[in-house]
Amino acid sequence: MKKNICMPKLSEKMESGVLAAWNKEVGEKVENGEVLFEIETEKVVSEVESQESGILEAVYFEAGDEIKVDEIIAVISCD
Amino acid sequence: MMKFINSKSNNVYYNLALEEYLFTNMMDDDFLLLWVNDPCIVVGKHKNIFEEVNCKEIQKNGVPVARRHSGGGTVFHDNGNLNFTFITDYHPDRFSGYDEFLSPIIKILNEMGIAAEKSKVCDIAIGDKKISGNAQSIKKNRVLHHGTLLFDSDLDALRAILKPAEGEFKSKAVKSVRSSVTNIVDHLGDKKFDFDGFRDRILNSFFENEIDEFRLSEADIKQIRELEKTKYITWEWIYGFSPTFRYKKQSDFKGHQVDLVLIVEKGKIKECKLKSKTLSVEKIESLLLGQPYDYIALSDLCSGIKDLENFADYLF
Repeated sequence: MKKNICMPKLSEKMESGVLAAWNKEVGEKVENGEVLFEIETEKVVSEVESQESGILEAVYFEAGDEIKVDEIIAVISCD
Repeated sequence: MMKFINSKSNNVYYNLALEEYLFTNMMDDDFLLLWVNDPCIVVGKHKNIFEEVNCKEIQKNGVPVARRHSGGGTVFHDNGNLNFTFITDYHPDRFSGYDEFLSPIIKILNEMGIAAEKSKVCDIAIGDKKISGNAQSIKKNRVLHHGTLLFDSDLDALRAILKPAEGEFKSKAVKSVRSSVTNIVDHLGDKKFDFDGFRDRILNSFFENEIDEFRLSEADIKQIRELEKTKYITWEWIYGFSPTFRYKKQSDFKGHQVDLVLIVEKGKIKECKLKSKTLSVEKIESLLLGQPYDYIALSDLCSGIKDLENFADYLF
């Protein structure tokens, strides 16, 4: 089963955030609770953990890209 | 109930490790940490240090430079700057961002008769001059908010040290916004208190009755030291954690006109293109390829090579 990973809303007023870094690469195994990527909004760095376990199948953005809340960032192919 | 931690260290690397240790290990309490560093520069987690800071000048002059784990820009710390850190729970659906941390600080400053107010996203300013820069880190269900308070910092040293690097940088890193700054001590009017008095006023206003001081165990301190050693003082974290960037410079090196393009990934020279009519560029390119983009290391590398003495000065 494939699960879309979307840009999370990290505060009341957040509309978009910058993908600061990927902590996983395409093809790599991801465990539920592991940090998948980091978001920087204004002056906040947030670690975003995966809610799924599986293989990181595709990523649609690279570090430095600004992404709107709820936009699809990546796909995880679940166990 | 908030607990107070008083860092007795003025070492920026230890203090950043202390913050991270509390943030990731002490989940049951809220904390206020007050700390002061000896003169140093601190960059945000995902900043390109080579673009933010003039690394050649910093390394020549031996100014300590550190990378923190929160966002935001580049700041200068010294013994006249008080750092405060709040660590508490985080709930995304009712997280206001900065105000719950900035408002109490601004209120205390106002009670001291200082006309401080929130400025930009999360600065505190007097008029149009900044006195406090703030940043946050969020991990699982915890948030760390920290900020600087310029009480009587050496602002001339700050301006001299935060000189921008030469050359052109291209990366996706967000650049710092330069702000004009002022010291709180110059806005006290007829009230007179020194740095310690200022610190005590901040502390006492958070703990009205009794200060609940949290004491770290020996085991805690050992782990903080370990984090300092394995992360905060390492070249890989301070320099190598910078995002990939492209660096371009056209300049004169000892009478040779040289055009340079470098691509630096994880702090190392991944690609190197030189153009010069008078230097043997292929030899230099293969020498530089794969080397850390570090002024001291490159100075050593070029030392003793004919025509390349001091070439590192050109590379920054």
